This record gives sequence, structure tokens and C-alpha cells, in this order.
Amino acid sequence: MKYLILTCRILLGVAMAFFGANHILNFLHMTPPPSDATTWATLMAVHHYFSVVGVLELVAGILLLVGRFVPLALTILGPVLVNILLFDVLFEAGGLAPGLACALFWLILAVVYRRNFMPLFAADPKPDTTTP
Amino acid sequence: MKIVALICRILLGLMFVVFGANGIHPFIPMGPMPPAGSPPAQFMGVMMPSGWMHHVAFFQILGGLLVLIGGTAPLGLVILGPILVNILLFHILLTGGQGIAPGLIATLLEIILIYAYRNNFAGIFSYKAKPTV
Repeated sequence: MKYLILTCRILLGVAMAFFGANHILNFLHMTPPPSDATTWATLMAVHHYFSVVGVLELVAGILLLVGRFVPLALTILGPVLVNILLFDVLFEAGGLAPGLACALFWLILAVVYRRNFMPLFAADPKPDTTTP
Repeated sequence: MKIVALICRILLGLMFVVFGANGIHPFIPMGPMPPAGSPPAQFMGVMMPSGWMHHVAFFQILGGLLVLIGGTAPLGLVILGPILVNILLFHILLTGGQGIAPGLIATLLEIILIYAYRNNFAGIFSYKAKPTV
């Protein structure tokens, strides 16, 4: 189990750090897939939307790799992965596998770090009313 | 603080339930559309027909309701957080800041509420979290 967690952390961390850096620096020179996906991806790249997403992916990926603030990294990557999957499914760009693999690693990590996420699901949380 | 949290919850929750519902079934009269070919028009031209915005709207309603219900506010705030990041990015990067005001207000409400419910968010910010096996 320990090694499963380590493997998930490293794989998700490497994937996110690598593709996050590529979003910022664009060293892969990826040819955009046709139609809607291209329009969208071009727009995102030209207006630096991808750079912001890239920074989030890179930072979260590095946090996963060094094993610090893992729950925070998972919190950041959750919505990023939701959008990666929405992109792949809705635009049928043909590359669903990497997104699904990352989502699987994410799920495993979210389950094993569940202790840190439990308070979010508290049944009747009270706002902290102590004034600082 | 208790009353502040309650007011913020109602405002933020209502905002997202109403705008989320509007995203699925438009009923709010919209101002003039951005000119065709402009970045926001291009963006919406892809996000709407593909159904992406409907998914976002679904999460807006879900997050808004969870924040309104109160017993589930932290979960709702976690769902609304990334949506707000994208609302702000859309307005900063694609519309050049036009129409960003509601997004900024919602972000302020979100930040106040995350602070109010900080006990529930503490787990996320743990520096050396240990997995449970």
C-alpha cells in the first residue's frame, strides 16, 4: 500500500509538473486537434489562460513529488482534472487515456489522504466565531 | 462573525444558484452580447454548444445549494472555489476586466466564508499529511 501511494504520487506529480511546465513554456510543440478544440486551445494559449493553469499544475505536481502539502496539491488538481476530462469528453479530441489515468491516481490519493478531507464533509460545521 | 457568516452564505449561495440556473435555462435578460470574434465571444462560442457551460452551471447550482444549506458549507465552498478562479480568469484575461464586479464580490464572500469555516479547511493545509492505509 505504501508503494502504491508513492507510485501514484510520483506518476501524478510528474505528469502534472511536466505538462504544467509545457503549458507555460510550450516545449512539446503540440499540433492542436481539429475544430472546436483548436479554437478553444488557441484562445486559451493566446490569452495566457493556459499559463495560469500551467502554474497551478506545476506547483501542485511539485508538491506531490516532494510529498509536502499533498492534500493541498490534490485540492488544486481536482478541478484541473475535472476540466481536462470535460475537454476530452466534450470535444472528443481523442486523448482520453492520460486524463483518466491521472484521475485514477488522484482518486487513490484522495482516498488514502481522506483524513485530511473529512472535515470538509462534516455534517453540521459551525463557523469559528472567535475573533482574532 | 456568526451573523456575517450567515449573510455571506445566503448571498454567495443565492448568487450561484440563480446564475447556475440561468446557465442551464437562461431567464435573466442579458445586456448586449460581446462583438462577434472578440475573445469572450469566441470562448462562449465553444463553451456553450459543446455543453461545457452546462456542466459548470450544474456545479454552480450544487455548490450554491450546499453553501445555502449551511450544514454542508465547506464542501460547497470547495466546489465554488475553482469556479470562481475561472470566472476571474475569464474576466481578467478574455474581457479585459469588463464585468468583473460580481465575480470580485463573490470571491470576497468566498474568502470570508473559508476564513469562518477555517477549522474545516485546516486538514487541506496540513504540511506533512500522512496517508491512512
